[in-house]
Amino acid sequence: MKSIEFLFNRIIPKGFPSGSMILIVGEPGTGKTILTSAIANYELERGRRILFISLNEPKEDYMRTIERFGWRFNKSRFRFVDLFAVGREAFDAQIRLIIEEFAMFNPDLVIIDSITALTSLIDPEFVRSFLHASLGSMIKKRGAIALLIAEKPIGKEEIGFGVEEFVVDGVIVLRFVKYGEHYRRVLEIPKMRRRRIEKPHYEYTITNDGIEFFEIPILESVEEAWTEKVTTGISRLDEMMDGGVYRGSITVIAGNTGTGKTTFGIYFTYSNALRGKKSVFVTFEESVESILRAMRSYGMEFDGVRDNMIIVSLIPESESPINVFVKLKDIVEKENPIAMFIDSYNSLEGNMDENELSKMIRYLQLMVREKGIATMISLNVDGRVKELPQTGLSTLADNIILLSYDFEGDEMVRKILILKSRASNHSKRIYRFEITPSGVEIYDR
Amino acid sequence: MIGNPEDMMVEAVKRATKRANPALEKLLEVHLRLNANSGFELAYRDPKRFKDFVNRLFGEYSGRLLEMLIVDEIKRMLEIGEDLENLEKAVEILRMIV
Repeated sequence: MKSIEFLFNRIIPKGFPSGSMILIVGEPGTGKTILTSAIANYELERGRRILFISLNEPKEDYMRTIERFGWRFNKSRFRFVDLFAVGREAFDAQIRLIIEEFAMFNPDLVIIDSITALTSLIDPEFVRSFLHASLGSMIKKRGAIALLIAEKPIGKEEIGFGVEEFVVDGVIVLRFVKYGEHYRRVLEIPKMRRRRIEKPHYEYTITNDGIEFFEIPILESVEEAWTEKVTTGISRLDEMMDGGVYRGSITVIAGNTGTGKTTFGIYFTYSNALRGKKSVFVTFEESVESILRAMRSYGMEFDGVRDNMIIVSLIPESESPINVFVKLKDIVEKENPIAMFIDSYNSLEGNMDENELSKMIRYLQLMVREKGIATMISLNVDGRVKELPQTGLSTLADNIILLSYDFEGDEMVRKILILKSRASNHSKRIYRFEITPSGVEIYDR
Repeated sequence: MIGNPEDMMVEAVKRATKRANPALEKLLEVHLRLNANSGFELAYRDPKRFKDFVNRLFGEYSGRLLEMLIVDEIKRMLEIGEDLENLEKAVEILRMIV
């Protein structure tokens, strides 16, 4: 669902009431101009007329900004009015200019960016008078909508000058909320006359397409389980798992450092890509180059699967769980993969709040089920592998593969066990395995 | 007392910029010196060119706003209630009256 469609369907059902003035308040960098421009783009696509009054930037700068999002505003229905902030002495003339422009252009939507700059040199009383008597009456008479952007200094709790929120019909607050190591953007709606707001609090992110609100996947979307299996990339492991892993399932591959979890992921994604199935390898730990180097060491030629295998390296420290999910969702929607490997759960865990991460993994599970993506996630385990950590991940997993090592004499021996494989008659034995230059070799004894 | 029409226009531009925003006067003055090799007298000598430079600096609508304020100042100085539409018309009137 597109961002503004979501805003007007789910967050504010039926959109902004006609004849209303909406205050959009936010700290610098929260995306106030982007949100209002995304709304302008949405309305322009529906044949409406937009009057954009900017006191913050000249037209050329604004147009460059919106072009970054691929928006091409129809010149006959979009008018950009650039003004500078004036004092009381010239405010009447400025108001006259705005009113004249409104009367001539007859817009459906007026955006003022920003009301803070418009009123920076004058008394708040004039602000109230302008909003209520001049702009307010024109908007109501025409049945149009006005979006008034207001700056909120970082750390300040009050909205605007303390007058705007009383004369407007709706208030949308955009804010940064600190969560662990990172900040996330949150939209709140404390006031919206004539609209029932069921959930007044949404996280959003700024993407190449504008603003994307985080949408919780619909739970009932997948009624039937996928019956098709895909290869793990290791034929002996496929046999042990009764023919591979189901599409739409989550497989946790857990083990100590150095047991070969990433190698299993490489085989999983590469083998499916070789079979002509799209696969995605997502790493939070290593660079794309180091994965390519590992592939070369196993004799894999990336060029041969370039069209079907996508390797993505993300840095979890700078992302909220929601952002990570949205990025994964974007990759999935763009590439439509059958197989996906995520390396690793721990690198996410180290940078995210536990509850938020559990929620994200739940959304991930819903998404992979809906899209039929066989997903493998690596999990690093400290100490003995028999003590599998009780994370939200292991509870949600359809399959759990344990990798461990023992010392036998002067030799390190790697072992593999299928701990769980939902709806499959899987092997319950512990097998010895080795990682050789020709791949993963699993031995019967 | 300002008798010279060009001086009157320069004064009107100064008053108008001050009225709009105290920071604008110097900004516009430097902009005109650097780009038009002229001062505020350009508003009298070539009002269209003056407006082009103002628009380049402030944008079309801010340019219009400043024009409205300059015309307003001319009307005050001449104590006329005449409906002056633009800077060109104001210059015409100045040339006739003074």
